[in-house]
Amino acid sequence: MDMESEFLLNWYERQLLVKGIDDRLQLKLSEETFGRISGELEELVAELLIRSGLSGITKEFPRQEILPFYSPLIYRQEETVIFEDGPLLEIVVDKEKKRISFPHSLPVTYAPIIAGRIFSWFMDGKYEKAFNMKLPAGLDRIGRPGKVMVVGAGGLGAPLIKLLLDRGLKDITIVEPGEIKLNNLHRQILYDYGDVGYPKATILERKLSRMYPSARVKIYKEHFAEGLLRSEKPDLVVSCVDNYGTRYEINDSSYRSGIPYVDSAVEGFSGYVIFRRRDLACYRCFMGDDRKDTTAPKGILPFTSYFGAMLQAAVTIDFLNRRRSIEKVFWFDLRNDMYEEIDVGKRESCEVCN
Amino acid sequence: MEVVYGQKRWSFDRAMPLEKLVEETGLRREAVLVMADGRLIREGETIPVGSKVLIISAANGG
Repeated sequence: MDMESEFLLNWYERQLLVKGIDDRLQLKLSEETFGRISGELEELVAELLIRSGLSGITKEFPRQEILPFYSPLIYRQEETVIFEDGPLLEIVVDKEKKRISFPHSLPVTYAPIIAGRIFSWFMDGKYEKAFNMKLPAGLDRIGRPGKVMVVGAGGLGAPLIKLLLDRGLKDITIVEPGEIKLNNLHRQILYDYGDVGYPKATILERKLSRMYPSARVKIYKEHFAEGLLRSEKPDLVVSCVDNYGTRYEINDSSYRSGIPYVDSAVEGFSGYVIFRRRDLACYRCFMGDDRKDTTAPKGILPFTSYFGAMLQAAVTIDFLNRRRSIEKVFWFDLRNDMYEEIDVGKRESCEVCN
Repeated sequence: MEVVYGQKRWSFDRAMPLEKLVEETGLRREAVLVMADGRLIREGETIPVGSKVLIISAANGG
């Protein structure tokens, strides 16, 4: 294997753990190239696919700012993927080019769904054409002041932080003790190749103050603890962590403090988003009390974690703007195109919420 | 009952406790959650025969 291929496979290490994705597919994807595209929806679909390994662009590609974030990108002369408007998702192969149409009237929250279907087509040629799913909330501008604490700035947290600040959040506290690794970069959109090895907190402090000078951004380079809720007093906590243990801690602390929280978790092509407050069943009632963390890395795709983050952002904004919240768990599977709302009642024996 | 887990499908013609269903599908209890007709099923509960069952990963990634 040449050095370029080896570098590429290290970069995508985490998505190569997903069933059905192997070195051959990953190297095949890297031969695809995006050129001139237009509009927010097209651009986000392209970015999510580029981050999933379709890593060629021409000089006409409009999101050149993705470059510093994305070392596997390769400049090429000719595009191989062309986006068009159409009533359904359709993928037609015309010589070397893939002509992909989808409804451009869809809200931008559908971008990860479209990217997931196109990626699935590259895997096995199958994809769903219609868009009949109903998402729990839309991505509005933030119209009311509020303070949000984000715990974890990785695959969920990095896009969530950017989505909230882009939509006008002015007061955010971030809790993140970790360091940046090479295999984080394909989905953790606030970090680039030069940041590998540095604490996420240090990089976020530098970048966010430059990108959002009018926002108050406070960053803790430490693990979550209940004391942070007492000192920061956020209106809402968003859990973007990668283990059961911290989710239990956030759940228990938030219920004790009476602070509502949003949680999401993702794996492979699927994940969920939940909103919890004192009168609703807690995370323990949903997941059980006895889930154990292992050290084994989990397979994850950029459009899946982006979708989880986007849903968290939508639910957060809905709460800040209207004090409205979803009561059911929203679960999705982008590979099998399944979207479900799940009723979770309080457990009689739950020591946290009942 | 019709049972879905990702791209896998099973069909059973009897009611079943959650634990038995997970055993029959060959999945690991600690890795999944079970829903029947849109509602979370807990340990000790029996799933009625005509239910539409969805098994999902107990995801914890972020």
